[in-house]
This record gives sequence, structure tokens and C-alpha cells, in this order.
Amino acid sequence: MNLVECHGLSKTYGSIRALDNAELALESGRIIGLAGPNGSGKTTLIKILNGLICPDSGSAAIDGHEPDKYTRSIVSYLPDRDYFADWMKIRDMMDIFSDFYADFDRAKAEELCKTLELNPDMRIKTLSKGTREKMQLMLVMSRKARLYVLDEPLAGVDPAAREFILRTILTNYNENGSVFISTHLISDVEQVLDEVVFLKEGRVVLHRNADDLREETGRSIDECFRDMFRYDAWKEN
Amino acid sequence: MDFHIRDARPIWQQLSEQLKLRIVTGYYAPGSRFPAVRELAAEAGVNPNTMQRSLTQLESEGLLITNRTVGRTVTTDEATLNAIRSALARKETGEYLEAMGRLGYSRKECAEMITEGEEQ
Amino acid sequence: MFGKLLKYDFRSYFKTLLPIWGAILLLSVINGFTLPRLELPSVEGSNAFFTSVLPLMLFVTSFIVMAVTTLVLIIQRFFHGLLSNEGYLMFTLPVSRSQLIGSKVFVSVMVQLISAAVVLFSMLILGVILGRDSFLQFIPTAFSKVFEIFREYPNESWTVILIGMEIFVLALVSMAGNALHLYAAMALGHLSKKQKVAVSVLAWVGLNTVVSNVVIRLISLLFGGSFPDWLHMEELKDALPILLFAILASALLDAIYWAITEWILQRKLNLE
Repeated sequence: MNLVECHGLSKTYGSIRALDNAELALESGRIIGLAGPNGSGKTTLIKILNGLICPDSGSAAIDGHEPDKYTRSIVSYLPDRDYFADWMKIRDMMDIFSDFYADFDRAKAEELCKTLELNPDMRIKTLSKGTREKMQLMLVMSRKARLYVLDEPLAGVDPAAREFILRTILTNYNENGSVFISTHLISDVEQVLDEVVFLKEGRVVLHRNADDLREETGRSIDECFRDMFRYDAWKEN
Repeated sequence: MDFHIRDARPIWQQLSEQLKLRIVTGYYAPGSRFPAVRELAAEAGVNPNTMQRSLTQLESEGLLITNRTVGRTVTTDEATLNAIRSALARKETGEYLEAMGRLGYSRKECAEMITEGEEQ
Repeated sequence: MFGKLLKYDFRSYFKTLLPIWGAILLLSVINGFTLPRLELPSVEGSNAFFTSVLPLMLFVTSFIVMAVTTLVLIIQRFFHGLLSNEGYLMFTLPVSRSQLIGSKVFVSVMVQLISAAVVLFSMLILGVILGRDSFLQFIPTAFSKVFEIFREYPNESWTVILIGMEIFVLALVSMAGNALHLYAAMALGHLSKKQKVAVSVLAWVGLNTVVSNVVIRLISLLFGGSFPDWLHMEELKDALPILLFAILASALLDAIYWAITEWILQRKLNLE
């Protein structure tokens, strides 16, 4: 049984088809990249996997379960936004994760704080955007999850720190699990990917091993992506 | 010696080549213990599975020996190492000659340039 | 897990309410001393204002502030705490939707209870300070009076106690209802894409009129077709079924509001 299975997943917002019969299967022990232009349905897919949105039709399963209390305990989610009360300190968030998640490794979290230069006594309200991103990453990667879902983990981070963040992800994830990274910064991320998934207008149009794709096309993943989606931009004009 | 990864070619291939170079130039001494996959992957900034694939390639070429108890070691077999070294040398030479050819130099002229260079 | 949720929610409320509760108690002590001066005719001008009128004004204001703040917090902890960015954290915790709702309801009720207790305590403090001379004699006399009444009218005394208990239960169920009514309204408002606030307000009004009516009619069926009548109470114990009716009606109402809220959060959640 695959770690993640999506069949015929569809979701419409008003007149916009965010997901259109999406099919996806992810195995354990892989780092998979999810790429697609804005509005391709990436965030919708991720929210469905996390139980934040209900699909109109189709199914999504993690370790055989529909998104529920159990899947929430094995999925570590890094959303593309802040989700904490301002008045909290970093330490408070660590306490919350410690309280609620059995797989949270407090020692590792403390260590990551040092590596990422985070002071647990700081109030979240006073942190810069980049520092908040690092804090969220620290919390998410300190869990021994079966599935890490990272929605744009590099977006708020300055270019110099991006490599550092990737290295943090690489050296801290649970190898028995998988990492699902949604991003539009493909060239920054492609080096660490096992597999890559392209999403276009709510459908999965490509799902290949990254190196195989490079071999077949003689191009980098980033270039493949531009090739596939450039035509559309031209079409719209 | 840093890893240089260009993204257009399969990364595992690029890693194999660069690791081969490290072995053949003695960066990893013959018979020495080879670093773990995770460590190498972190150093190169790549996925451990990708690094694993490149190591498997090196194993199949006889450059790395996997022992159940000791782990991975670099081969001590002189023949294998020399064969790889000369293959790499041949490749470099081929690329050099092609480049010089495009500039309009014949092999003889190349040879003269080399001996001249040596004397200086 | 539920306990951890409670801890989280309590912290959010207490952070704002503890200072207010503290201020009320402090102001009761102050007013205990400053109120008597209100009546002195010889005190003149600005002095009187600062020493008696201002403390009283602050005192009254603090009660209003507490009531308003409590209401605002109950709304905000749900609207922002669940249906906005913080929801990304709450809805991805390994807890069920009903646990999330339950924790919020429980803490809302506790907070309302504590607020009520603070009011009582504040009055007690005032009373003690104002009447401190007679107070110390008052307590033992009061107690012995109560025991006297108990000995003389045992049946009625038990009825009074039962009525007291029913009133307390009714208060709890109503306090839960205050919160659940708001939650259901906000959950319904969440269904709308652009007019969340407007729909929530309409829903709050609508739930009040429509659902309450239905529930009252349903419960009256249990009581033989018509609901018990305050106006024709003859004996004290006639109040018991009336109160029971109110408790059952409120409880059913609460259950309906909870069901609406949970169903929407479970099946129609659309966090942006």
C-alpha cells in the first residue's frame, strides 16, 4: 500500500476547477517535489491531504486512512502561512508540539534551534518573516513523521539561506517516511528530489524519477518545467 | 574537493564521476573506509537515494567493495584503479585533442607544445 | 489530549481576563473605603470627584469591560482561533473536531462561571468592608437562622435546595448555550465565501428565533402538550418541573447547535 493515494480528486471553487480528477501515488522513503504554476491546484491538494478542505469528489488516503485524527498524528505539515498566536514564545510552540505529538523529539528541536539561530525565549510577534519560517521548519522537522508536507518551505527565505534550509530538511527527515515539497523554486530544490510531480490545471500531468527525467530529456527539472508550462503562457497571450 | 552538480544531467551520474575522480586521485585511499551514504549526500546537498544509486554504480564497476561487517571500502585492486585512471585520462586527452583540433592544431603540433612546456 | 487543548484555551483567555478580574477585586476593596464618602455633604470640589466618584465610575466600568471582553473573547477564540490562520494549527492537531469544540465550550463556561464568581466575590468584599463592624456578628447569626428554618420546614427546605441545584444546572447549560449559539452562527457564516460576518450575524438571529421555537415545542410535547406555566404556580415545588423543562430545552438546543457546528467543521471546512 502506498503512503499516499489520491484517486479522481476534484474540487471546484465557484467557476474555478482547482483539482480535476487528480491521480497520485506516493511511496515511503522518497523526497517528492510538487511543481505547477499558480492556480494549478498545489495548495488545494495539500490542504485536502491535511484535512483542511473536503474534496467535492474522489478520495485521498494517507497510510490507507482518509484524512482524520490518525493521519494528523503521522503527517507533519508546514503551511505557507503563520498559524500561531502572536503572544507566544518559541518555547511555547515547542511545548505545544511536545504536548500533542508523540513523535516530537524535543532534544532535536532544541538542537535545531541552535543550528538555525533561534532563541526559544523570543516572542513570535517580534520575529522577522524569515525567522518565523525557520521556526516553523524547526518544529515540523523535529517530528519523526511518516509524511512531511512542506508548502513552499523556501518562499520567505533569502536566497543565501535556501541551501541551508534544504540541508536542514535533508539531514533531519525521518528516512522511513517521505517528504512532499510543494514549490515554485524548482531550481533551488531539484537536487534533493527523488521524484517530481507536475500539476497543471488541477491534473497530474507528470510523475517521474528526477534523474530519469533528466536522462530522457537531457535537461534539468527546472528546464523541463519551463518547457511544459511556457507554451501555456504564450497561449494565453 | 567540492561536489559540482549541474542540473541538466542525471545527478547520480555526475556524482559517480566525481567520486570516481576522488578515488582515483587518492582522496579516498585504496582500502580505506568509505563514508556513509547519508554523510556523502549531506555533503553534496543531494538526496540519499540519489547518492545510493551512484554508489551502486561504483560497486558494479568494482571501485567499492561492500562488506557486511566493515561496510564500504575502496578497492585495493591496482588493476581496477589503473584501468579507471587510464580511462579517465583517455577521455581528458580526447577532449583536449578535439578542442585543439578546433583551434587548428595538429597532433604533432600538440606534442611539440607539450614537450616545450615541459622544458620550461 | 483534551486536557492539553483545555490548557491551550485557558491560557488564551486568562491572559486577557486575569488582569480584568484582578482589577475588579482591587476596585471593590478601594470602593469599600471610598463609597461612604460619597454621602458626605461637606466635601467639596475636585477632591470629592477623585476620592469617591472616580473609583465608583471605574468600578462600574470594570464590570462592563469584563462582560464585553468575555463576549468578545468567546467570539474571537472561535472566529480567529479556528476559522482563521490559527486554524491551520488547530485542525492539523491529532484531535477530533468534537474535542476542539468541546474544549472551547468548556473553557467558555468556566470563564463565565469565574466572571460570575468574581462579581459575587466583589460584592462580598464590598459588604465586608462597608459593614465590617456588623459583619462579624452577621455570619454566625445567618447560619443559625438557616439551620432553624431547615428544622422547622424540612420538606420545603429540600425543595429549595433542589430548586437551587436546578437553577445551577440551568445556568451551566445556558452558559454553554451562549457559546454554542455563537459557534453555530459563526460556523454557518463560514459557509459563505465573501460575507462571512454578515451571514454569521444573520445566522445568530435566525437560530435564535427558528430553532428555539422548534425546541420549545418539542419539549412541551414531553410535558403533555403545553408548556408549564409560571403564572399558575401554587406551591414552591411547582417550580421544579418548570425548571426541568427549561433545562431540557436548553440542553436540546445546545446539542443541536453543537451538531451544526461539528458537521460544518467536519464536512464543509474551507480554510483560506
